[in-house]
Amino acid sequence: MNRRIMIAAAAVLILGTATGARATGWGVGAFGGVTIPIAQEDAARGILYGAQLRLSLGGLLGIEPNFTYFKNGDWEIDDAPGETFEGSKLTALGVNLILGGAGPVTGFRFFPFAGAKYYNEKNDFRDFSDSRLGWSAGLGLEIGAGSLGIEARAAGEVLPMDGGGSRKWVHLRGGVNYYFGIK
Amino acid sequence: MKRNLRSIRLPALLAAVAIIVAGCIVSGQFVIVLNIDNEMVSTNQELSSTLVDLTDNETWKDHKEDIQNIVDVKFEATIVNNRPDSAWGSVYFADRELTDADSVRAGAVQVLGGIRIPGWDSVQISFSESAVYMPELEKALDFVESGKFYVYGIADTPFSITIRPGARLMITFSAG
Repeated sequence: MNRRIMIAAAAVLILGTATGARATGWGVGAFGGVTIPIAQEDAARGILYGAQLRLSLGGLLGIEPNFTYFKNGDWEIDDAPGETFEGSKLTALGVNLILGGAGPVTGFRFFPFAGAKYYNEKNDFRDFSDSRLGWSAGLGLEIGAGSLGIEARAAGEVLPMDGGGSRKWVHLRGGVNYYFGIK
Repeated sequence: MKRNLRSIRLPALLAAVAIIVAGCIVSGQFVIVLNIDNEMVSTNQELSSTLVDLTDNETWKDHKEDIQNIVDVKFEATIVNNRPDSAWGSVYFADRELTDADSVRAGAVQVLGGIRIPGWDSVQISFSESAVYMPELEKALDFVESGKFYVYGIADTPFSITIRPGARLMITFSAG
């Protein structure tokens, strides 16, 4: 049963990348969504937005320089009922390697991606500011026609901390891409 | 034999990836808030302290074996200066009971400092305001890991300060 599910998922991925008519070119995109902290008692769900470049390297490969701003929501804990504490604000500048194509698409495609990001975290409640290298990976779906593409994606973000441990989030986001230089 | 090795290569790789991913996912940041209900009156000669006992705290019990670092230490307190001169207060952690301010300075670890309390006056410090008093986070790690430690409030000499009942300590740590 599990094997069938895995085969079906692989088929959808392969067909998704194969049915989208790909072209070379480059694009710009904007996105927004939610950031969901994983196992962080000092953070709550918040918002994110950002922008990206999509550069096709030909075939299935592409790279995606990107900028993301996200803010953890104010958090509370059972030990201090009725009180809320400020969550961190983060900016991240990064590059993703995309498998599945980063140029314009007609139809739809799935695109797995992974990349590195330079995160800056600020938190006024903790009087804290620090910049560190982290990484992210996930899966996106883009539906396109002509110069336009609409995408949705889910990503895991991991930010190592000084002294051990890491902060982790799931980012769920939607966005629009506009492509130039379609051939 | 080769086929057998090949057949276990992929599951082994997947298992290794799963272990790494699971290890990453179960680690996280955890927060403990402790109430200090007793009044702490301290002078040069006489010292009162509070024993912080985390061993009954469910969060601490769940993660005591894998605490990695201290993310934040905050406190909330009203501190009264019982003398006419301004006092510069500090908070110390110690692993044992100490008898006077000098022994605290010599044998305890300063976690917070630089708290100015005007003469014959008091200061009320909230969790967010306490961030400016330079927490020495890494110094708090051993105490939090041990589960039991003493908290002292002292000031520069000579001093007489009172930490009113209802103070709270917030400790955020990373574990996994």
